[in-house]
Amino acid sequence: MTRIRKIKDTVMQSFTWIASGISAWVLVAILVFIFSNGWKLLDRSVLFGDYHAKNIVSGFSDEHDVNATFTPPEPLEDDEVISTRFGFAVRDEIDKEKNHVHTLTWVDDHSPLRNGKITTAGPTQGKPAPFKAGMNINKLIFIDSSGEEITVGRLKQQSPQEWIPILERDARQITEFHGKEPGGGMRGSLVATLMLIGLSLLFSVPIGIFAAIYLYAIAKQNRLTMFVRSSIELLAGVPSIIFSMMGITLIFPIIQLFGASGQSIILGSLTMAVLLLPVLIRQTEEALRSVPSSYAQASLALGATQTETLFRVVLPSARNGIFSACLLAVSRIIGESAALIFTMGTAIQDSPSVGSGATSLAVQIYVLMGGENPNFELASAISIVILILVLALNLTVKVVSALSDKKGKA
Amino acid sequence: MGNTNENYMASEAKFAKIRKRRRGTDVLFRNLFRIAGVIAAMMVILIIIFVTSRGVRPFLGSAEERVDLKYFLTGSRWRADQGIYGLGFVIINTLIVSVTGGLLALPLAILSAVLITRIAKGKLSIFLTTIVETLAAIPSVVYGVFAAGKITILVRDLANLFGISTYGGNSSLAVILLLAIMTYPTMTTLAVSGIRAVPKELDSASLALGATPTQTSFKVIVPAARSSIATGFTLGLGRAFGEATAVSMIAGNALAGPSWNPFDITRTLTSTMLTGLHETSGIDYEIRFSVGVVLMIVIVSMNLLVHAAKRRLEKKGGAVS
Repeated sequence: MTRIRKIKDTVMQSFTWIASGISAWVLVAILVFIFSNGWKLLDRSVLFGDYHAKNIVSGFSDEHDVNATFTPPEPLEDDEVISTRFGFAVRDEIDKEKNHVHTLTWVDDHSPLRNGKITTAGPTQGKPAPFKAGMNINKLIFIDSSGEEITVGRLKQQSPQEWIPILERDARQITEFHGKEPGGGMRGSLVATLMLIGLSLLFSVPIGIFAAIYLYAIAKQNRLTMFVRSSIELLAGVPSIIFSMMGITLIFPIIQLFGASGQSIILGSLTMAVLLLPVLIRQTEEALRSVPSSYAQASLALGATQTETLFRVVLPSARNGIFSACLLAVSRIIGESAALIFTMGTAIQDSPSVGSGATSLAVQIYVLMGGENPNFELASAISIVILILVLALNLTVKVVSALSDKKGKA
Repeated sequence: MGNTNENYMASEAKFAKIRKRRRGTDVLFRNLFRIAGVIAAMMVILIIIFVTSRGVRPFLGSAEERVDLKYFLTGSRWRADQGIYGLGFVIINTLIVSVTGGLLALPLAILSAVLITRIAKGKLSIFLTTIVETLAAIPSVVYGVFAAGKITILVRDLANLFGISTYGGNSSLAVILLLAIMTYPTMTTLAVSGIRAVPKELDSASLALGATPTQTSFKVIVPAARSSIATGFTLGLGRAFGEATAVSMIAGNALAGPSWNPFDITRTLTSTMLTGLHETSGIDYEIRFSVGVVLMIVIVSMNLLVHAAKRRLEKKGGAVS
C-alpha cells in the first residue's frame, strides 16, 4: 500500500465518520431543542388540562359560618396570601400569555369556595362549580356588615396583599366569585388521538390482514396479482396531504349517507385507515411468509380446510408479526398531521366526539405553530409526548421481532 | 356386514354434508380475502380519479368563475385574495428545494451507509443504525417545530453574516436543510440494505486483486448497490415533494417567484395547499385539489425520470446487479 493510497483511504474513511457524525448531531440537536423548550411546561395540568381557558362565575346562596377559621395543611410560601376566614390562599403569578393572574394555591375542603354554583345563564346554570387550587381569581364580591356590596380582586387593580386583608376584615358573606380555569392543556387532543387510533385500526386491520392473506394464500402468479401488488406499492408512495384530499372527495360523500356533516374524527379515521393499508399489508404478508410452510401442510394433511388452516394455524403463528404491524400503524397515526388537517379540521376541542371535528396531538402542534406568535413551549411539550410514544412503539416492535427471532432459532 | 355398510353409508352422507358446508366456508372466506385485496388495490385508482375530477373543476366553471389553465400552469404570481392563481413558480420552487435537499442528503446517506456496513463493527454499527431509525421515526410536525425554532434561526444568522435580511429565517435554504434532514434516513436505510445485498464474491475478488478495503467499498460495493441507492433517492424525493406540515411552517409562502435567492421566502405545492385553511367553499377551496393533482403529476414524472436514469445506469454497468 503506497503512502498516497493510505492517505486517500483515511480521508474517505473520515468522510464517512463526518457524515454519520452530522446525523447524530442533528438528532441530538432536535432532542435537546424539543426537551429544553417543552420539559419545564410538561406537568399534570398541561397533560390532562383543557386547552381553552374557561371563565367561571359562581354565586353563593348558602349562609356560611362567620366565625370559622381555617389553617393551611402545610406552611405556605412567602408570596402566598392566606384568607383564614374563608380557607384559601392566593399567589400573584404570570401566566403563559404573560399576564398577571391571581392563582389559588390552596382551598380547604370545607371552604365556602367549594359550594359555589354557576350563575351565568345557559345549560350549566345552577351546576356546582367548586373552586380548586390552580384556578385564577379575577374578582370577588362580598357583603359587609352594613349590608353593602363590595368588589375586590385583580380586576380592581388590587394585589392579593391588598384585597385579602379587606376581605378578612369586612366580609360577612361572599356572594359572587369570578374565576378562570387556565387553559393550554392537551387532554382533548390526547382523547381525540386515542379515538382516532381505535377507529382507524378497527377499519384498517381487518381489510389489511385479509388483503395480506389474499396475496399470501390465494393470489396466483398472474397479471391481476402483479397489478394488485404494484397498486399497493403506489399507495404507499402517495403523500399524506393527498390522502386528505381523498378523504374529502371520496370518503366524505359515503359517510354523509350515514348522517355525518363535515370534518370529523370518523372522517379522519377512515382516511387514516386507507393510508395505513400498505404498511399493514406489507408487514402482515411478511409475517405470514415467515411461518414455515410445513405448518400449513401438516394442518391440511390432517384434514383441516383452508379456512381452518389459515385461522387456526397460520395466523396464530404469525401473531407477533401482525402485532408489530399494528404497533407501527399506531405510531404512524400518532405522528400523522397532513392527512388529518382537512379531514378533522384545525379547531382544538376540549371534549372531542366521534361525529365532530377535533385535533390529534400532531395537528394541535401544527395549529400552535401557525399564526403570528407560534407557541413553541406548548408545541414542544406536545412534541415530547409524541416522541416518547412513537419511540416507545418502535422500540417495542424491535423487541418483539428480536424475541420471535430467538424463538424461531430455538 | 350389511349393517356396517349401512352405517358407513350414513356417516359418509353426514361427512359429505359437513364437507360441503366446510367447502362453502372456504369459498366464502376466499372471496372475502379477494375482496379485501381488490379494495386495497382500487384505492390508489380511486384517489387519482376522485382528486382529479375535483381538481379540474376550477377550469371548467362558468366564464367569470373560471381559472385560466395556461396561466395556472405557467403563472408567476399567486394571489388568492385577488383571484390570481399562477402555480408555475410554485412548481419550480418545489423542484428546487426538494431536489437540492435530496442531493444534499444523498452523499451523506451513502457515506453513512458505508460506515454502518463496512467500517463500523458490532455494537457501533447497531448504534449508528439506531440513530438513523430514530431520525426516520420522528414525525414531521416535530421536525417542523425544530425547523421553525432552530433551522430558521441558523439561516437568519448566516444571512446576517452576509448582510442580508430575511423574514425571520423563513427561506428556501431553511426548507432545503429541513428536507435534507428528513430524506436522509430513507436514503440511508435503502443504501444499507443495498450494500448488504451485494454478493460477497465481489468483495473478496476486489480484495484479492490488491485493492484496499476502502477502495473496495467505494469503487466496487457502492456502485454495485446503485440500484437500491437510486430507489432510496426516489423514495426520499417522494417524501420531500409531499412533505406538507413541516415545510409550510418555514416556507414563508411567497406571493410571486420563482425564488432563486436561497435566503428569500419560498412557496411549495404543499404549503400552497395548506394556506387559507378556513375556506370551505369557492375557488379558493377548490383550487387546492388542482394543486394536489399537479403534485401527483410532479411525483409520478420524477419517479419515471429516476427510473429511466436507473435503467441507463444499469445498462452501462452491464451484468452487475
